[in-house]
Amino acid sequence: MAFPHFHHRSRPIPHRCGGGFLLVEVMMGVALFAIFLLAAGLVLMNGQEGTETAGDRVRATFLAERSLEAVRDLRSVSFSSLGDGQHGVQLGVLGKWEFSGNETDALEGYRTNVTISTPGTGVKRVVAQTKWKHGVARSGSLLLTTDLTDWRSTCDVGNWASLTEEWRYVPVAGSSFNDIAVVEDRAYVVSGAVPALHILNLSTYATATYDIGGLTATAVAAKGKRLYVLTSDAAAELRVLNIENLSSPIPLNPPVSVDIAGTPTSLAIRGNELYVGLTNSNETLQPEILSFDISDSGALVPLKVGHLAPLLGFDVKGIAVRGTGAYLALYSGTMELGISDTTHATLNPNSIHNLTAWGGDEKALSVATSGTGLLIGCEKNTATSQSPEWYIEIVNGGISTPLSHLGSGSITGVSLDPQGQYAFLAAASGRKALQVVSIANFSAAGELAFFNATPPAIGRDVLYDPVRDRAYLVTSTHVVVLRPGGVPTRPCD
Amino acid sequence: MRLSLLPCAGLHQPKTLRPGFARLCPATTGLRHGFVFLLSVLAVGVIAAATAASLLLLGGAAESTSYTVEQSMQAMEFARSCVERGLQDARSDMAFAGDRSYSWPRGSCRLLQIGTATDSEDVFCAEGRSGLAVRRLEVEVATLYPDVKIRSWNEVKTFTRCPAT
Repeated sequence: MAFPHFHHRSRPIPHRCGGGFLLVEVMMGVALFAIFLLAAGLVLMNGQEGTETAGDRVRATFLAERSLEAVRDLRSVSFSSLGDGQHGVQLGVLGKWEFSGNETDALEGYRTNVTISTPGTGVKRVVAQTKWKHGVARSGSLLLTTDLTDWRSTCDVGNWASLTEEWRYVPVAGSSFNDIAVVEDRAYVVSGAVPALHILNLSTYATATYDIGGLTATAVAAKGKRLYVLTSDAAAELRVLNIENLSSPIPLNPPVSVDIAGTPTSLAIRGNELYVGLTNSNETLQPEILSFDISDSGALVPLKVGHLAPLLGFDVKGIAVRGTGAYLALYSGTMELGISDTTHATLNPNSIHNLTAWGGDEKALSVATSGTGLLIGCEKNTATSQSPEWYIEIVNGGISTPLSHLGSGSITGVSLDPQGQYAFLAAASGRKALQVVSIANFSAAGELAFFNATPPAIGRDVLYDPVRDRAYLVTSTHVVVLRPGGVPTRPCD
Repeated sequence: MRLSLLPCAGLHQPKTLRPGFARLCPATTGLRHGFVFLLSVLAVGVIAAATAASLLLLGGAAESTSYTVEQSMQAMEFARSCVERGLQDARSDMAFAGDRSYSWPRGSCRLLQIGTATDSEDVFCAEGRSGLAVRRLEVEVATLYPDVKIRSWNEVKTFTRCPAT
């Protein structure tokens, strides 16, 4: 193809030859720029929307949280006010939270409601829902859930100035009961006769027994779903039973037991440590106190030992543990109370005390703690025919001047109510097998009430149950459930 | 004289014309302007895209944070629920040892074995979980009866006063 002829001209004619290209370029550029601009704008808007949505959600979260706090506050006033259903919450005229309608409108389109249900006995499930709607795109809702219980209420203690027998367990075959432990609504009572374990349902008062391999038992303690029993097996005194099924104890699989050198007499549990008291006064090399780690529910791991060897003649008849102190009831006429520091490397007593208010030769048989109180029960002094028990306040690791009271018969078991009003004494005497004494003023008020075991039996142990406001008296032949007289109170259960 | 046309759109224009070729396009004007404009558009576009992407990511991050805040708040509520239930169980069972778990549709909580502390009745350690959020509470109880008295109620990073199970 031949090109047409052009006349040479001094100036180029750009408009004719390059104009089309430039226009395309400009249009492409503008189009690209527009696309970029559009994309950037969309992304900007999207990002902005994301930020705003995030703000909405955070604000809604705090509104829902505030509603839960409001219900928590209402629970503190009255657990029974938490009725099932949907509620709104708002501040009342007195500046206190109150339920109002079934939804609360906050400013700027937020609405919150709380829905209360009862998933189990004594438990309220509170679900706070906050919804918001800002235009078409910005709407949503969220939920926050919490469970509330009635732990802020006070467990009442009745007036124990008088007693009422509520129930009595007298097994058909003769038993020789020694000790008691309570888990949930079951009482486990060990016996010096076969079968060694008796199970009492404290709700229905149904009973059952469990034979620990034909052995007898002297002491029992419980933690979680494990029962620790001191048995008559000379090769495996301390045994652990599984009580996942509260009515049917079974040995652990594999069985867990410990051979304790000497004669173990008492058990106490503090946290995840089990303490064992022994009567080894005639064995200079054997410890009088042992501890085991029971944090692994399938094992007994030896922890520490304590010796009273330098003071031969001291046996440990009872143990109570509070804070970092293990308080030992010593069967000694001159030193009744030993105190070991459980944080030390050994359980050797740091101090030993002689409580000689009655001039005596009394020997301690039992000990209990509650709050800051420590109660020690003693053997009846044959010379003076007196059976003192001492009440001591533990203050910053030290002990106060003991208050004392004279019980009836050897005080084989003691227990305290957590409010520090009453001391419960089990006495090894037919008359006044249980005595209730005012702790607040031993000397002035003294004995408030007593209970004679019928059929005749001697008191072996007593346990005050703060959950039910009941006292369980363990006698040589039967178990009695006692409640305070007068108007029934509202205990914890 | 016969002339051949030299294309204008190319980037490489010879500085001198060979015989027989004529410069049909202006030497620099339109061509260079379009090129610079295109580059400018690209540069501005890249900056705009980067800015927009940053904003998009920031928006996404804010949304993610808001979900985390929600889950974290929920995890704390579950931990509180565990303490609530633990306190109630401890008050109704003298031998209560802890070591319980509870679950909800959007999370769970675990109450460790009850721990001990000097001069305190019990230490409750509760761990609440919701999504990826985990919150832990250590509650030291001075007394359980007749009233529950709380000595301390702390959120902790790790538990120190309850035995590991």
